[in-house]
Amino acid sequence: MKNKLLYPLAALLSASLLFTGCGTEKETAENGLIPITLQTDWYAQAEHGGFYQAVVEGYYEEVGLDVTIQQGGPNAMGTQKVVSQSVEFGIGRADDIVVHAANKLPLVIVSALMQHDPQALLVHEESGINSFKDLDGRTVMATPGAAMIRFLEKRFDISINLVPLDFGMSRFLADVNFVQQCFITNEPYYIKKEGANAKTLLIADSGYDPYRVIFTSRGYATKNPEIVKAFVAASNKGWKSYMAGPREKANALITQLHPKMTEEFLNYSVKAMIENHLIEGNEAEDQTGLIQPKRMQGLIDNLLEVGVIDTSVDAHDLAPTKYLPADLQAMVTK
Amino acid sequence: MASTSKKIQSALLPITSGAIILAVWYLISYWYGRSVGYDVQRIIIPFPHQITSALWSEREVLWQSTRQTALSALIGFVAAVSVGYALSMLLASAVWVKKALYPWVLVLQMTPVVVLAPIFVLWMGQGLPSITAITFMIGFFPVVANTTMGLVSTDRNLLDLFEMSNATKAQEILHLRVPYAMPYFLTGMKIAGTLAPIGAISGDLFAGSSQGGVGGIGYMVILYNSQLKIPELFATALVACMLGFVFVGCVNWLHWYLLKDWHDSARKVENT
Repeated sequence: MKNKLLYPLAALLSASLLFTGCGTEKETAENGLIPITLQTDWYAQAEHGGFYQAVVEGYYEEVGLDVTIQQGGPNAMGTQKVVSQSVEFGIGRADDIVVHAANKLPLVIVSALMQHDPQALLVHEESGINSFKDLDGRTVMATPGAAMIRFLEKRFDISINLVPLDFGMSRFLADVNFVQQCFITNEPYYIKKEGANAKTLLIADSGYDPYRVIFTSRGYATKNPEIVKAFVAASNKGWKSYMAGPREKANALITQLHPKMTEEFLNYSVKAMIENHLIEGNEAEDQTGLIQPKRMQGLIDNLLEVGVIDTSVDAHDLAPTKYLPADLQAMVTK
Repeated sequence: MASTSKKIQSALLPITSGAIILAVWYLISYWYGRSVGYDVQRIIIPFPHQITSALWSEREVLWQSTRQTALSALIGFVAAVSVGYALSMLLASAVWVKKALYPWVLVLQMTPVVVLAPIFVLWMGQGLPSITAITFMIGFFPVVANTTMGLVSTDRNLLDLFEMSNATKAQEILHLRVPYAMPYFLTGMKIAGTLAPIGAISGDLFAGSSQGGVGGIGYMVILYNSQLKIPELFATALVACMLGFVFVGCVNWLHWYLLKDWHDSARKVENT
């Protein structure tokens, strides 16, 4: 009766063999280009325009990269994918990356994506909310655990009843007291279309103004500094080109990937990015892509001060400027 | 004694397999940590002891979440059982009622609750009402389907006997159909009991909030995941599993308690 034990064991063994066969490595493709994947945080939209511009204009190919832009969505989980190195690059808010770094996740910020983050709170004109202080005791729909909400609560000494973001607009439209997280470049467009009176409180106006950034895993950056530099430089070129226009080809690709993104909507988002100087910043010089270690350290200190993180992080270590193009490195203030 | 050694064997087998699973888990975590670093391993496949220590450090939060979810599950379950029972009585009251209504009950049953959940939230807002409504929807149909089946499949001979004895319709229902349908109803109740914690957690995923400090288990899943607190996420899974066992255990006890004195399925000794 040995078979009784043997069969399950054999099945277990073959199953485990199957699993080991799954881990295939991708090195270089047959066209000589290095395959790279960028995981975005959402479906294709103007806020990713520069990356698509770099694809359609061939900027990535010029530097020897074959970049795949993997669209995000409600469950993009970019950080997890980057940390486990199943994708090379991700994008997100600098403050969330700081929180992860304080939790000892091996992440490196390699470039800024936006000088100012478009995240804002969407409120109805009729709600009586005029400042962040007025949010005390209100229900806000936002990403649970997001650093910015915890920062707002602590900075303004308010208590927010948080409900998880469902990425829809219907509840906002149904209730004048409803407050939800939004991009100033995005949701207000829908609200106007639906004929509601809404305004936005830009988080950056609260005196808390993190970058939006491109990040990778520490392991990948250490092993492939040249690839990281090439990716940053080509993406940077893509962003400058996208903001200057023409952007028809990139927008056509975005619309093809995400049909909800009409020409009109994309133009609205781009206009909002330009008007708010989100990409290039408010300074006289174009700062697209630049990370100032001083400003980064200021953000870290802010987060530490209000207790969102309990161990400090070194800005130079988390966001080294060495991956930036030379012209941006020259702009770094010591 | 053959039976004692059998007992020892049946207790030893799950313990051994559990130990093997644990060992394999450690091996995989260790192997993964070796290849990508232990900071990454911690948030992809944490060691079992990292999960238990997360469970310990988050015990107060998780205890509150569990209580909140247990309450939603209980309310949803009680509503599902009582409304389900009432509807079954209605459906079984006359053939035409069943013919008119049962297809629509099926239509509702076929609509996945995850699709309805955002609509409930839109109607009832975030919080307990929506969560219990979602739990109710998940547990309601097994009760209706089973109880109705029981009420309409009463033994023909017994029905004839009641008719011969000039029993009224009310007597027939109260003294024959209802007791006869009891095991069916209780089976439906058992299924609803298994589904209630699942319903409450999925409801909480859609309709949970941080009202009162912490949310239910579903809310904690979203929170821990977005903060990359993965050992805590595993700990939450463990807690959810335990809640399920406790809930099902109580319902199974109720099932046994209600049947123990008369139904064959719950009796240990034969009548002599």
